[in-house]
Amino acid sequence: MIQIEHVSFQYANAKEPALRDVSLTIQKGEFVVLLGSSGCGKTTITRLINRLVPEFFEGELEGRVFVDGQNTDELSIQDLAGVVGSVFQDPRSQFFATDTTAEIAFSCENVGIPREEICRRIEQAANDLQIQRLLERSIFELSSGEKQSIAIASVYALAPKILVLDEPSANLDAAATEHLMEILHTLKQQGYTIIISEHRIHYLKDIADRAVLIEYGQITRELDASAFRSLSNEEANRMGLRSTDLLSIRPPVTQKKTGAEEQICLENLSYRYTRESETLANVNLSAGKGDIVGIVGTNGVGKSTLLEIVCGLKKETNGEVRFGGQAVNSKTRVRDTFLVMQSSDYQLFTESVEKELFLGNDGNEELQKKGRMLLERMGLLDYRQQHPASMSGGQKQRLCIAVACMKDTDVICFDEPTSGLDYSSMVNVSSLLHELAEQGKTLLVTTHDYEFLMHTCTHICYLLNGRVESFFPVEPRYTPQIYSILFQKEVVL
Amino acid sequence: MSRDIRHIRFLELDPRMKLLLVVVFASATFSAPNLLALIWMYLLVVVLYLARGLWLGAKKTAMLFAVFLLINLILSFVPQSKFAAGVGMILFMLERVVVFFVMGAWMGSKLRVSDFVTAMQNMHVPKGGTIALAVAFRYIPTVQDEFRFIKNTMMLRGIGLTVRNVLLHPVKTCEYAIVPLIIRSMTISDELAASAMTRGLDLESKRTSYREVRLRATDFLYAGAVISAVIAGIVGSALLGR
Repeated sequence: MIQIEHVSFQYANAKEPALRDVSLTIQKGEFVVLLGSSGCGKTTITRLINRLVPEFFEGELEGRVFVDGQNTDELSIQDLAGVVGSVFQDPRSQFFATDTTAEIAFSCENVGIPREEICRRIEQAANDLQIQRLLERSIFELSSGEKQSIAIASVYALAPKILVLDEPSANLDAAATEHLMEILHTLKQQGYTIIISEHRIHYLKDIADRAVLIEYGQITRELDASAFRSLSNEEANRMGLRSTDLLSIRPPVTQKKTGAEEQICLENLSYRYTRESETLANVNLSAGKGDIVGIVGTNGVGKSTLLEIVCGLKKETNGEVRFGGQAVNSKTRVRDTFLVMQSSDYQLFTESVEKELFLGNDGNEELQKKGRMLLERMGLLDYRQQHPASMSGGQKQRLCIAVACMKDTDVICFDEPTSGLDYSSMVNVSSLLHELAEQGKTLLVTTHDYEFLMHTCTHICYLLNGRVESFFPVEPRYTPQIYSILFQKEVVL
Repeated sequence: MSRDIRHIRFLELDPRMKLLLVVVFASATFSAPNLLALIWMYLLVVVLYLARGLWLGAKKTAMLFAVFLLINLILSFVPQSKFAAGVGMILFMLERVVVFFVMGAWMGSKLRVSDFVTAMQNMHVPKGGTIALAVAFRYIPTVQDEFRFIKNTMMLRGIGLTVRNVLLHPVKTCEYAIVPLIIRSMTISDELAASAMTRGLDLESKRTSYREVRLRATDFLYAGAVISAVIAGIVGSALLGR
């Protein structure tokens, strides 16, 4: 079905080639996983198949690619629209319509399928993928997982032969990832040829026919279905991949300092949106110095809202926030906290790494020295004159954390710090957070990343229906409970 | 399947008619002979918002208009001077330009982009132009979202969009707000374009539509009534103002 023959590719403006002499043949109906850490070239391979490389992302291409028996040199991206369906990483930026049904219809409309047929296909796609409840909804109300389902449905409605997915689970929570797996299962049974690039592979263990490891732009290893299934956590981690068997992850054993001094306390905190349903009601939470509290719960339960209230960006409608026993209003909280958001792009304002650190402070000698140390710790010292926009995602994120350290507040919040990160980046973030905690800071972290949570958090705060359903320390004996909260299902041991 | 969703919302106009109304309102406001005509136009805009059930939009628009009229009123008590004349001139322009943007927002809210693309195709508008417009309309709600995040971080970094910062460092503050927005927009528009291409938006073949997009008698009736009201208001106020 797909033949990639001795392909090398270098993006225009890149210093190094993204792919070096890659050859890969994929049979009809095969389910192939492209493995590897961020920046290894696996995304580039998916782009070869839908021809975004080299037509949209330009560069120097050598070698040949055949899709469905045709040399893609002679085709355009549009010509392949009916043959290759593509699903991308970020569901927010792949939608054209503003309502779900129109979005599913979009590809069909473009290729000119008659109206009656489109309506039939929408209905069938909704039935086959079990998403009838999502029809005729506004795109903006959907969770990431629901958006990703719609993206797949839209591609499915056109009935291509090949499906290419680029890290489709990057922005999904655990339960949505399970649903994604079910959808992929259905598609496989229908005979689709599926290529998926991922570093989060636990959900693909049982459906993949073959896995290909890509390192530094080269295929370095091929695993058949059984070898892939029996990949251990350690082996996967060594390849830069996330753990394969999540249940076996144990939290690191730490000496719990008992009775740490209380740093932040929320008492009967309530928040009501004017019209939407997302609310918080009587949230009580208290955390000491050095605590890392993981705030978990399903999408739309108010996790981000809670962080925004703690940081004073939103004003509680009721209740009180106390720092070190002192009640503080939202204005003081803006001054005395920091929030590191999910996307670094929002958070960088200046034209160099160095300037970024000294923005909003006077940059006196002491701070200069501290800034230098921070850059060194983050591995950014060599980049200090560089424009933040030209750095990789991981570097930008470390810069954001460095900025948080410069502000030197006792309470720091993180919103989904590891979505889309591969293993080594995740471990890096985790150890940075541990360092901050050791300095006596209190960290509040929203996350749906089970592996990161087990590595990092000292406590779990589970939000359900706008309330704190439970609050407990991360200890080995609570593992099943944590697992069932994140995956929304009971653990079968 | 609710294929005929347009029947449900009785007053949902065809995108072409909406575009027509935007053009009519923008040009009519510019030729408004006096304040009376302007107030009439403002009133009609708010009514249009209400007719589509866009309550929040109606409220915001009404407040914006009220502010303009209030400044106008205050200005009429200020004794004649160069400064007052300057402010009056700027206000005169703003009062009129704003209608174009407000009507654009009216059209953009809850716009079904695919209907819009189909309608434009039926009007034989070149595809390149249509796609650019469609992306622009599609992008407005996203920008609103993104901007909220940027504003939040600015607050926490001590460079927030507060009255103090805007007055003391207007250029810097503006730059801080816009730079991340542009960088973010570039990423998103790139991803959006890549996704659209793999889904055949650029294909030469004629596009179909899963929902029927055609002009109905009610479209003409409704738009006709609104346009008549606009003309009547302009003519009426011109006669009254004489």
